[in-house]
Amino acid sequence: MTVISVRHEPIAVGLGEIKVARSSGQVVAYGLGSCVGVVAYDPVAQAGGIAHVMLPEGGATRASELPGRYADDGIDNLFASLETIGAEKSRLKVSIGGGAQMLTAPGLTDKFNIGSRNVEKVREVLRLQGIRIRGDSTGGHTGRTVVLDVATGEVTVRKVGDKEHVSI
Amino acid sequence: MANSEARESKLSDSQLSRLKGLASNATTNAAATLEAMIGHSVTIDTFEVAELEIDAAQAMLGNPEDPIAGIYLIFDGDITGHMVLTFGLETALRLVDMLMLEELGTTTEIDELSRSALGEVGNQTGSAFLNSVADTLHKDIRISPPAVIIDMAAAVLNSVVAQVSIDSDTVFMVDTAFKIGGTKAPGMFFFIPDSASLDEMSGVLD
Repeated sequence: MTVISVRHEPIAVGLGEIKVARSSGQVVAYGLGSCVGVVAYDPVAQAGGIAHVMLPEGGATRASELPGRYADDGIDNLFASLETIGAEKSRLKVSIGGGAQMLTAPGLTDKFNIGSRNVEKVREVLRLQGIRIRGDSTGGHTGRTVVLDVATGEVTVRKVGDKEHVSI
Repeated sequence: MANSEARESKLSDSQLSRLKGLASNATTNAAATLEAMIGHSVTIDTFEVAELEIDAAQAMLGNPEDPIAGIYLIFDGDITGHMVLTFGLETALRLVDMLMLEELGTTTEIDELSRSALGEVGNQTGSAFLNSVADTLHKDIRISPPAVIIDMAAAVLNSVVAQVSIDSDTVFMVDTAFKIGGTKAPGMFFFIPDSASLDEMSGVLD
C-alpha cells in the first residue's frame, strides 16, 4: 500500500467561530486583537479546537448565532463540539491567548478595553468549571496569532513581526 | 462568511446606490484634504460600497497577519458610529515621508511622531469624509481624536469589529484606491454607523 503524505491547510477560526479537529493538522486563530482564543485539547483523543471569543457576554441582544462569539457560552460550546469528536471534558487542557488593548487614544474610556474584559470573563468561566489554564499569553497592546498543533497539543503564539511561534 | 446570504439587507439597492454616490463625494472631499496636507497629488477612487456582515469585513483586508496601519475614529452627534481607515504598512511609511517632507523611503518604522502624523491623516480625511456625509444628510457629526494601530490586519479590524458589534452588526465598506503622488496606495474606509443611526440614515436616503 502506498502511503501518501497529505499536507493539510491550517483550519482558520474566524471571528466568533469554533473549529475543532482530530489527529493531525493545525487549528489557527489569526490576528487576535482584543478577541481571545480559547484553546482546548484532549491528548488521549488527540482532539482539540479553538473558540474565537469576541465579547464577554451577549447581554440583551444576541444578534449572532456564531457559537464562539461570547465568552459566557462560547467556552461551553467549544467543549460540546470537542465531545462530538471523542474528547472528554475531564481530560481537556486549556490555554488562552489574545485579549490585548488595541484601541488606545485620548477620549477612549475603559469601555473600549474589551480585551481585558474578555480575558477576565474567560478566566471566570474556566474557574467556575474548575479548569486550570495551562498556557496564558494575554494582555498588552499587540495582536497575536494562536496555533494549535492537533497531533501534539502544542499551543504556540506569534506576534506581528515575529518569525517564529513561541510555545505557551 | 457565515450567515451573510441568509441575512436581510439593512438598505435597499436604491439606498445603497445613493450611499455610494455620497461616499464617492465624501472620498473626493477627503482626497482634497489629504492633498493639501501632504503636498502631493491625491486621488481616491471609489469602486464599491458594500454592506457587509461584520464578520465578513476582515476578509477584505487580505492576509490576516500582514502588518497594516489602522486609524480608528469614533463619531457622534445626530449620527453615531465608528470609522476605520486602513493602509498597508508600506503605504503608511510613505505617507509619513510625505508628511515629514522626507525623501520617499526614509521612514522605516512607525515611531511616536509618525504615529501622530498618521493620526492627523486619519483625522483630516475622516473629518472630510464625515463632513461630506453630514452635509448631504443635513446632520451634525463630531469626531473623536484618532487611535492609530499598527498591527496584524486581522488584529486591527477584529478589535474594531468586536467593539462595534456590541451595538451594530453592519459595516459599510468603501473599497477605495488611493493614488498618492502618482503611486497607487491601497486603502480602505470602513464606515460603521450604529443601528439607530443606520435607521436614521436610511430614512434620509429614500
